Amino acid sequence: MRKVKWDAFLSGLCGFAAVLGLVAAGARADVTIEGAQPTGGASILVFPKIQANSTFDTVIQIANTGNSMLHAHCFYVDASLRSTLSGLSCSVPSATCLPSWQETDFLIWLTKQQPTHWLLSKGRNIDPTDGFKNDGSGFDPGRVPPVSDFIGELKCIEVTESDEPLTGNHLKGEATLETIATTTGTLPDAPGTQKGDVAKYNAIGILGNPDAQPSGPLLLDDQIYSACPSKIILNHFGTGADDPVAKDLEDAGANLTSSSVATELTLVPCSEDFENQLPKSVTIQFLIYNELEQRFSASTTVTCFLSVELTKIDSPGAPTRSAFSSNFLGTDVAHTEITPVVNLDGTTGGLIGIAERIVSVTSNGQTVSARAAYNLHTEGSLIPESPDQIILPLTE
Amino acid sequence: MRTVKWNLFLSGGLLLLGGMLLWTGAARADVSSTNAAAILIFPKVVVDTTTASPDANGKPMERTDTIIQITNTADVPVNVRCFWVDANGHCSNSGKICNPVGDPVDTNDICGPVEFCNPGWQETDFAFRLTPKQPIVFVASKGLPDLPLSDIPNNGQFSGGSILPVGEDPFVGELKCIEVDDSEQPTDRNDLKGEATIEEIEVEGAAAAPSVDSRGYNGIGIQAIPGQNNGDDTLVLGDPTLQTSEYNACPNILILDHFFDDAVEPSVLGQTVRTHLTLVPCSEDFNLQAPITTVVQYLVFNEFEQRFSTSRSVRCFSEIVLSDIDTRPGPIGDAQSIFNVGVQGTLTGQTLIRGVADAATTYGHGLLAIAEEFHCSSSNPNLSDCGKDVGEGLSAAFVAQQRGTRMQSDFIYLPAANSPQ
Repeated sequence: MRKVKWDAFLSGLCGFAAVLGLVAAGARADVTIEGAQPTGGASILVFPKIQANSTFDTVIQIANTGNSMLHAHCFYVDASLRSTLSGLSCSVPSATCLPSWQETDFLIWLTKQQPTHWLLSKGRNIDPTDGFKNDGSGFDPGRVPPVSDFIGELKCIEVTESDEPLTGNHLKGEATLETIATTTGTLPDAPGTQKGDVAKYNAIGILGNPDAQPSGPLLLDDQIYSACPSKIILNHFGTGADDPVAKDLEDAGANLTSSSVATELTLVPCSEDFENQLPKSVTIQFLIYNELEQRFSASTTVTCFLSVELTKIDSPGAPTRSAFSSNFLGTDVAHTEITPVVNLDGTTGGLIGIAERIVSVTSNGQTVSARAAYNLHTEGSLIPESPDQIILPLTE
Repeated sequence: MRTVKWNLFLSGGLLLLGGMLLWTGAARADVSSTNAAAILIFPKVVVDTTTASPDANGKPMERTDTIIQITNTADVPVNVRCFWVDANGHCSNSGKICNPVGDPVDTNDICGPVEFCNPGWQETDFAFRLTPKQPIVFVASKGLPDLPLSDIPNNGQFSGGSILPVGEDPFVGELKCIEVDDSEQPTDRNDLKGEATIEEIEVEGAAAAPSVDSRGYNGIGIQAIPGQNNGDDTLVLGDPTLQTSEYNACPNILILDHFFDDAVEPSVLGQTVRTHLTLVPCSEDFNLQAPITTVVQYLVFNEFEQRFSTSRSVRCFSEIVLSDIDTRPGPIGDAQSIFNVGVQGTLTGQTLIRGVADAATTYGHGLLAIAEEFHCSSSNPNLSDCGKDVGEGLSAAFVAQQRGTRMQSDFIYLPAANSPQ
């Protein structure tokens, strides 16, 4: 009798717990730029696009939202093209010009509520003589290595003093993409740049379950860490569409020759193998809806890092034939759903990213461009049989 | 012994449940700019087309406008009711448009020495319908008289309604959109997402290159709680007792990482940075047109972990340069502000922004914010103008992050959508 009563209670309790678990999963935001409640931060911070070369540089800002010391293990993932022959950077992908997928890691530590920053091309030194109002003034978060000819991702993981993963949810951050040189070009192939232009986005946070004890690999399964989204939603202009503000100005009699808009999409896989340096591949499907509710589709594969103008996804040689072009869409804007699909080997994985809207205006034979960055909207949780995971390199 | 065993098990089970509830609470995003929602807020919309007419004197033609994109993410049509909140100030006698928290020198130029600038708060609402998955775009100065698919149905569904342009030019204020049902009463669906892009274009008449600046941010979404909406015109945002809450609560604290004003950013360009903060209240009474005053506390941390604090009231809408939060409006005193690099000594800081709660039960003091970061040439002798006018610096915008949820409910009161019977 006692046993029966015990089981009934146990069953009820487990059932209640299961229901609560379901409710929890349903209500949960998977990845967020707003941070966990009540700490305001995340346990894994992802900057999908950072860049340092002769045209762009990036200011990274990271802050500790907690009231105790915070340690983070950060990884640069270099996706720039390198010659397999010379090791130098190259510009056109080919059999001898491949992305390097090179990972470099470093540790930072921040005191209570401390913000910090560094410029990607400079890194940050430990120098107590930085002085007042200078770059480097303040408590240095540790030695941050500089990089050059770099495009890729930065991922920071909250850890303990002994470098063990910690689900404290205390990291937040922003990246400012700065244009440091003016270049000429036309959309969408080679958007020109305007020296001094800036675009900023919030780093994407992956929340940790504060009651869990993470260990390698880090599982993004909604149990240890939040799962990545099952769908990404992007609102964008059709590439080549007129910019509405420039068009109004032109209609008012301004000396404007033309204007156009393009969108650069950056996606990175949630899974990462920093130990074996194996890039993760995810095939994605795009469903594109125009303003007339007509649907089109495209697909591509993201290996480690993708940063591309939208028309290059499905029509790299003929942008006006792309499903993302205004010429094809027939309307100025579209709504695109990006969904990871199952790979041939039965695996799949989540993605996160940002978008940049580029507007170009031509007047007096001169074209000027400006960028604005946006965080992507997300929906649902992607928890396949083998969930997304981050494999950290051994530290001993 | 049996009692002890039972209690141990009970304690373990309750601990497990408690842990799960905590994780649920820990992970829940109450207000989000990356998830579809029932209430969509664009805290800052700005329009100025007054210098966009051809000028015989060869002065540059300028235009500032805000491009709004809104999308229905659902497979079914949705109805949307939106409110422009006009936060323009007006000169006390002439009625000219002025900025009540701007530089007094500018106000004096507009209103003259005998008038003062009255803060304003005027709402105008409109409704429209989006077909499944439909995205739309419009500029705030023009609105959208006819929506795509308003005359040609797709899948048997028409869109409908029209989007009003803003009521004044120049304009500064907020756009708030609420998902409603066919009778324009609020519903518990979460289908709306959106983005705002503020663009400034300047075109010289002669051979000079044009100037273009663009900064964008995601509309901030407040999600409805399924099954909780009673469909009346009073929207309840958060409730610690969980009895009446129809929508998620607003954040308790906003977190803003920023450059201190006048900091020289570290790139080779060495530009000087200024940040403009826009705050809007979560509670709004569109029915009685009664703006709510909230005292805002700011805790500022620099990279030395030193903490400073200040406070200032916000009524309805506030767009302010960080250095003006604790000093006089305009450039005077900026160098003595706790938001200035000359006071803090480090380039960046973290500021916690909190609306001070009170005992009110019909409104709250939750806040939402975006920040605009202006980068200007350090050789400009008038650095305080950075971000003030078109062409004064290039910029980026971003949404402030958040911590915790309000213990005091916020309320949005809507005017009746239908005539009384």
